Amino acid sequence: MLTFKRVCFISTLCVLALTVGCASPSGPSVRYGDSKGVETVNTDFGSTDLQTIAESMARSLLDSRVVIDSREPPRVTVYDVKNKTSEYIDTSAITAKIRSQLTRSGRVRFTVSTSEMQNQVDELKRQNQSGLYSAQTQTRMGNMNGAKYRVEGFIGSIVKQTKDVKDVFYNFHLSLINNETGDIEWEDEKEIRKTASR
Amino acid sequence: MNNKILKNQLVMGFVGAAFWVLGLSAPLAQTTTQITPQSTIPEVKVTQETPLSQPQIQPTTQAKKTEVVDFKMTLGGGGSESSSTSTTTVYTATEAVVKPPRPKIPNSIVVTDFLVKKEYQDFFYDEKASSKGSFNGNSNFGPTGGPVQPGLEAGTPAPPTPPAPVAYSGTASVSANSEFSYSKNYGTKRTISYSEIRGITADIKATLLKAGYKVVQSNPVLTTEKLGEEYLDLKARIERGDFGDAQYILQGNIINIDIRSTNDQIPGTSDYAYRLEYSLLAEFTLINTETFEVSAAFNAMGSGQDMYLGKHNAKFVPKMNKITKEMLVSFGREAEKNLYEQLPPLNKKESGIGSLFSSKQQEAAGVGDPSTLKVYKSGKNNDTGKEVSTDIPLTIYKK
Repeated sequence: MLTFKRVCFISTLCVLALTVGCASPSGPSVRYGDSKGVETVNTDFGSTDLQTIAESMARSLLDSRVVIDSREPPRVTVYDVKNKTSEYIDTSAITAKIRSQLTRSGRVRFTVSTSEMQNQVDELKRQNQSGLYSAQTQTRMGNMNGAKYRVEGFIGSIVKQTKDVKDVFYNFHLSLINNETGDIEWEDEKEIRKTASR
Repeated sequence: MNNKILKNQLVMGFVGAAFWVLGLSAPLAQTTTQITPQSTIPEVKVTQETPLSQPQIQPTTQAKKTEVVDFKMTLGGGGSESSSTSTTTVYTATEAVVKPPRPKIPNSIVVTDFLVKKEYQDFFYDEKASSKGSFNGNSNFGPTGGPVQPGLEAGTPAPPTPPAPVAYSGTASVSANSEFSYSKNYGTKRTISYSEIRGITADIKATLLKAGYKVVQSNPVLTTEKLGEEYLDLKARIERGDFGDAQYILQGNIINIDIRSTNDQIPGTSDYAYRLEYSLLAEFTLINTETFEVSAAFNAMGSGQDMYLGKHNAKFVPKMNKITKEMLVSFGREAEKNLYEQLPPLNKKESGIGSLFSSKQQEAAGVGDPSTLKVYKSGKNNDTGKEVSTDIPLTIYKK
């Protein structure tokens, strides 16, 4: 009798264990959050920094005299933002974010940047030199629009760290330069301070 | 006038008949004079406007006429007299008609072909050296005979003769000659070449036609045998009549033709842009052929290119027709723009030969302009009583 009770108890435990084991996942739980919510996981460059910088720069550029005073949307090309920090930051993500916000405003027009030229050249070659396209519809070479301005900048950081405290200061600098005259038409910077303590 | 000529003829005829009767027993010296009958004496006209000491003969149609008159001749009416009894007077009737300047065709322009003058300076260096040598040797050597034997008496046996010594003589001459020449020439050779480019001015001519000018074709320069600096002298060419009766001459001179061939890597890609570009820079001068006044002057530039995108060491065969067409189109546009800004206003009053090209309708303002509406007043012809419309519009409405 005692043996039967033991067997029943053990089998019940096994069923429970199997049930629990199958019902709950083995990894961390995943949930969707607010993409614009503040992220404070650590002091590294994060999504909140990216959004803050892009929004600030786009707003400042749209309020500049170059954009306000021009009759037609000025043509701008984007150069890579130099990363002068000690950590890896994908700076093209910052410029892409700024560019998308400016383009959506309709007040600035962008031309292909240097990093996008290979695709542009390949497409022109395909249409003009392959002999496959009709002369009426092919896009002709030599008619690309030149940008009057270019955007370039850099991001730098100052890191101070003790045993319990880590302080990171980010400085994002962006300029709008007239390609013809070389004049710096607009310039702005965004500073971010992040401190982590135990 | 007819009486005067008749009188002259009678006098000449009388004198001629007198000589004829005398049989020319005493012919005049120096010349064999054949007195022509009265009927073949040339008709002589005396111009009253320019009385001269000698009678002036102006034939109407003959190019040249020479007559020998060897008698006293009295010309009536003109008040001038020429007498010659023993000498020969030769009257030469030439085309002494001074041509009045032909009237220019108003609003007409000759667009000349482009003259290109190129100067080359080449450095030349010529160095020559030559040497020539000759050596002649001549020797002549041989025996010339021994000493003379003494005479023998009769009856005496001849003593044994020792061998006679032989003398040898000769001459030897040696001559050597050597020549060496060296020359060095160097300097700069200057070459000037002239050429004429046609087919560039088509757009400019079209612009002038649109503006209301008459475009006249000029004589090509290269048909002339010799082409030199004098053909760049526009004033001389105007005076020579190379441009007909045109009122203006638009002359273009090519300042420079630039040809550029490049192959540069496109930044951000692994491709190269192979490019051939032609550019043309020329100056234009609009000159009034009557006053030699410069009415307009400007420069124009055009360029055309062909491009090929490819990897390093790709083969690029440029399309020359595309390049030329692009260059001429852009050149014509710039010249057209500059010409429009400086063109002198059209002369509305046409006269002389120009009136041959105009009609009454063209003289009426606004005629031919599609942007105008013209209202004409109808009138009645007094003879027929029918209504006729006048050529001059009463009112012209413009858009």
